[in-house]
Amino acid sequence: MSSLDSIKSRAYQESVAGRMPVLPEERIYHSYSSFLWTCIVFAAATYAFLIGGYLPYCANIWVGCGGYLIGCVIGLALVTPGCGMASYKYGIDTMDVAKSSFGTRGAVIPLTCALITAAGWGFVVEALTAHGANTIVQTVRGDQIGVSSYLTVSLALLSIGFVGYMLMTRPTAFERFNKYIAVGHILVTCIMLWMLVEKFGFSSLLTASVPSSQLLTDNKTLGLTLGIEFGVSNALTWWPLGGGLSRLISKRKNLIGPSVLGAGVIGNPFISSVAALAAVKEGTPDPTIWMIKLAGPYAGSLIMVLVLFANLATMILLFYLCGIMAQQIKWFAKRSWLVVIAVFMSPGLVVAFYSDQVLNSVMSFLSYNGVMFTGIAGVTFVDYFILRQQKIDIRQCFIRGPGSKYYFWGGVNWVAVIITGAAMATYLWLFNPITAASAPEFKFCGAAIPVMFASAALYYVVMRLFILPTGKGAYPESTGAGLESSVPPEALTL
Amino acid sequence: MQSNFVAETSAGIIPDSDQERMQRDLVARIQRIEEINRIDPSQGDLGKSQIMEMLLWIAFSIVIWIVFLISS
Repeated sequence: MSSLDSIKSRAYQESVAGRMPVLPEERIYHSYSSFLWTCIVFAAATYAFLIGGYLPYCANIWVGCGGYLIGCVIGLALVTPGCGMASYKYGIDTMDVAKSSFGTRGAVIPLTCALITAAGWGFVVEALTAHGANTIVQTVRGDQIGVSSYLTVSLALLSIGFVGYMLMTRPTAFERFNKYIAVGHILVTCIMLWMLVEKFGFSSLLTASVPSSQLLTDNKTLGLTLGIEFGVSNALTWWPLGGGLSRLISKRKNLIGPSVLGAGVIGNPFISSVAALAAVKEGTPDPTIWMIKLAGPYAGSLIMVLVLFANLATMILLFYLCGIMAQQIKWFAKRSWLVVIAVFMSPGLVVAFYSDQVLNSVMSFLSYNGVMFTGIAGVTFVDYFILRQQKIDIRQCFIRGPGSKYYFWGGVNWVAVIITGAAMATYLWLFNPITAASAPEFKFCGAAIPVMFASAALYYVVMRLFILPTGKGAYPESTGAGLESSVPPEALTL
Repeated sequence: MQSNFVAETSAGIIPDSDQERMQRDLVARIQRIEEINRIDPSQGDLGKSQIMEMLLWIAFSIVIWIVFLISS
């Protein structure tokens, strides 16, 4: 077996093994603090620095950071039980639970959204890495720090090439470092906060603001809503991750609190708020520049080298995750590891030439995460908690083809799919993530929260009126039967 | 983050013996989880304390939201 075949086999086996229901005795998060720490680790990613750099543009720094905190907390308080409760109860992943609402084949839609999210953040980190390395080179040379296009492009190509090489040869070589990366990010954040207070003074930080001509809006109400929108969008990216973590918790009382506090307060808003202060005081949202400006050429370059190392490990992890997740899609499962990785990484070659635009569009991408998951979160919440009354037939999630009760029409619940599509369209009508233009209604309640509630309500009404009476999807109310099904063991498959 | 779109494509990737072992493992795990849920059907449900916790977090956010709205 060649090296590539061996990696492909490992990725496939990880994909399959990752789908096995987790039994109570196998769960690893027994306490509030252990799950809290894991949530902090997951949320404290490199791009939290980048997101923070843009928050001061929402009217002012405190409105942006406050709104972001509110959005993260509300979003996670809603998303965590939505994606986590069924996974906790049955020990299965969010994508398997999603089959009960989207159908055994329709669940490819949330899976695709998860792939886009992982690959997209991978490209953001690529652009950030190229800029960071460029800044270090310029600092070492004694040049004025700025954008050097040829150097940035070369470094971006180098980083994507290195990540591709590692994924082809030793994809798990950096695995052991990943658990230390978040610790490093929090440590860097604390050091940066201390340096900010030392350099500028506490009172100066309280009044920090970007020039009014650069603001997305000078209306504080709209600025607050924008901050909330970014926070909710970030919380919605928890949807594909939350189930995988929730099924490793041993007590249900430890599900919601640690997720909201860890990811929604400490892990993300804290890092982003410090980044926001640094961005305003140093005059750039680019963390690769303000870190060196703030900490000085020596300490700043050293910190930046550590951050870049972390970035490479993060990129490898994100694209490796894409490779593993993609094994669940028939087309990818039939292809070699080389092709799978090439498909996901090849846009990185284009990104190398447009890293400025990628970094400038990071908030748009964050909002597009919200666009993708608002409908999905609303539909799956109502389907599991209300229509299925918190009971799914776990066997049906592991049956291929028309034999599954969750097969709906050709394996797809078109009601869920259409409502998810309509939710995306409505979101984009309320708020355009590219231009930041918004409908008048956006100012008061944002886009993600009302769209999530509207899609949930619409899904409930349509399913209740038209689908449940047909008996499709084996909803308890329509079948009137218990969930115990007599599926022969040989029909169950991963 | 998984689902079963792999279909029949596992042939040649995982040895048959491993597939049989995983199949047996899957069946055993599903049976065990069904048994746990049969004994206590509500053990993994969203309980009152979780709903309260959820509402408290949302209320906390709304209070901050109102404070910001008033101050702006």
